[in-house]
Amino acid sequence: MENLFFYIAAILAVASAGSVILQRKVMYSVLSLIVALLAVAWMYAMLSAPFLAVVQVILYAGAIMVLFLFVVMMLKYEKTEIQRFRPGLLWCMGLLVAVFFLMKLIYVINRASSLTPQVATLPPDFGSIKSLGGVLYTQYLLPVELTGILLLVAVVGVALLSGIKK
Amino acid sequence: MLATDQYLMVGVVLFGIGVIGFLTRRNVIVLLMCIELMINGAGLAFVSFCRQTGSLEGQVFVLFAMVIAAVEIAVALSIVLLVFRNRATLDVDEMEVLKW
Repeated sequence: MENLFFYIAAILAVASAGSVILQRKVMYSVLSLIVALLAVAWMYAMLSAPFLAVVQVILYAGAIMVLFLFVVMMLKYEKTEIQRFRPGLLWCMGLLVAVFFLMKLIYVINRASSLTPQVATLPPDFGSIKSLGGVLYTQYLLPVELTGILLLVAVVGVALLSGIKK
Repeated sequence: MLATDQYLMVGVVLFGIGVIGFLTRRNVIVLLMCIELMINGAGLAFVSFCRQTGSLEGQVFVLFAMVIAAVEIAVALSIVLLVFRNRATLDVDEMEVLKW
């Protein structure tokens, strides 16, 4: 049963990720990316990370993709949408490097995963808000505060970049 | 129980698709989406290693990565808006002011 759910999620994720880079229209790419992110959230939930799955749906598939959709809708797209497809030398080299990189990565992971030990047994509340917050607010307190400052800087930067006319 | 290797492999494939798209597409919004795909592939690898070793550090890292991705996308999209307003293009080949 779990195998079945995993294969559905995996096929959904890989197919929609492929659709992101193959679609001609950017709008369709954005919609496929939402499906891919939801499939990843599904796999987080199956890997006993329920809090991460919820955050993935809210933050990624919710907030970030709304930003993308907003920008795609806002730009006047008719002129720029039709991409001239011109596979030059650089394009072929890029594709070659990327495919080679993917093959190498798959090979290395295949080699390494035959060496790894069995799956650990987990406590029942593994990955819940309580256990994650316990680690986050004791051991990683300083990075959490710095992340807050980073968010503040981003808010100021975005307001400065796209907002106020003098 | 399913082995975590398969989740790891899905993460690797997502990352690879992101790299392929990043090196072959020319639309700047699609490039940003490929970066998102790569971040998600890495996150999936983190969480599957986490499941395998039974430690929570990987999930914490994925949480930070999500925040960084949100910040990055907000700033990058406002830059894209500015460039589109000034140059009326989304093609990275035509954004060449800083190139030479």
